[in-house]
Amino acid sequence: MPQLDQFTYLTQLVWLCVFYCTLDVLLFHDGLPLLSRRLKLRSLLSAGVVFRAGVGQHEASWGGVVIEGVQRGVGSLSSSEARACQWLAGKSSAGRPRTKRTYGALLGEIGASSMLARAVPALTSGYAEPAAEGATPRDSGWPAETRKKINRLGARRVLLPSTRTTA
Amino acid sequence: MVCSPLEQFAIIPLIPIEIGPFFLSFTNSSLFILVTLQTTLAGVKAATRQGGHIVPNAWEAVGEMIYDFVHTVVKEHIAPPAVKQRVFPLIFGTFIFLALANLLGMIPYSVTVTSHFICTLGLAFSLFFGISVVGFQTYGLHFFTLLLPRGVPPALVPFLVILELISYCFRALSLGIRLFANMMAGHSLVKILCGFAWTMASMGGLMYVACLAPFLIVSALIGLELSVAFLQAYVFTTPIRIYPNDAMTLH
Repeated sequence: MPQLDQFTYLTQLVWLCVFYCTLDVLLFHDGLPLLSRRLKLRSLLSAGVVFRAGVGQHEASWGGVVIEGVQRGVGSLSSSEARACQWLAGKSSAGRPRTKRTYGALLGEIGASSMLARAVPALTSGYAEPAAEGATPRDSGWPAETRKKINRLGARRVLLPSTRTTA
Repeated sequence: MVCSPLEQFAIIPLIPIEIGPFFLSFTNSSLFILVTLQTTLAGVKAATRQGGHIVPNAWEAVGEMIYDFVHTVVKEHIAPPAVKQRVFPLIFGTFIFLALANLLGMIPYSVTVTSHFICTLGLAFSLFFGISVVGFQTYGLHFFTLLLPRGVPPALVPFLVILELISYCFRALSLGIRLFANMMAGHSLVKILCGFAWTMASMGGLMYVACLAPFLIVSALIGLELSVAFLQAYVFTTPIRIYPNDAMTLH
């Protein structure tokens, strides 16, 4: 029975040890941190800023939801996830980029400002300019304080200090 | 010519290396451990190319599903976050390694690394020994209180401690033997049934038609063996999830 050939025991043990330890070191150092950071950033994106574009919702409560969502998104981005974002976009000690400027870094940027601008154009357009003729009734129904607050939060750009990615 | 069903487990040296009395050749088993390592690393590389995407592509989705699966089962068994953080990468690495090693063994003419008990016992004992060392580092001699459950009558204490000690030592043995036995039995059975099918086909006549029966059984068995490959990897990592929790929380 080949399993009982004792002269093969040492070779199997040694090579198993070498390759298994290599696998563990490479996973611990490179593979698993990348996977976990991407999953955390994705869950942040889906949970941090939530816009409900449903018909028939009460305007005042919707404004509250948007403000809370933006605040939470902006606030949570200053946590460890934001630091992870900055790591993804940051540089190694040798000065070379640690990774390419990736979608992971883009997640952090669009989390508060661009998604806000894209998803709620009716809200943001009513602040700087007078309401257009074709504006929806929703624009005029929004309290000015709500609109100012949303725009201020969107304009802060606290996510990342570097410029927007061109990805 | 009679082919033994155990021939498939033979270890053949590919690059002979002898250092004094020690035989450290690079064998076919070592080659397949290397292939397992490279396949794992290639999969992880594919799942983490350029940091990833918001909407994952196929490779990233597979990598994330496996990560999520292992994370979920680790969360079920281990409550303290400190223990979870330390144990999760080990569980992930072991699970991936064993699942791929078992699956690569299903390729015809390949070597199943885990069908040798020295590999499985070596892995099980080293992991178990490491967990015990961590337990002793955390608690010192107080770690031995693991051998005495609460609420035991004083008269039973000596017997129970001895029983618990034997049970504790046998955990590693059962872990390694379980995986080895499953892999070896599965592959031996497939080889034996294939031998039947081939012999019957060689006989001609009615036997040539009847060889379809073992052939179909072999097809079903290969499907079973594929699922057993994943299942045994999961079953191997289950005690490795539970034992650190026991060792670091002493219950």
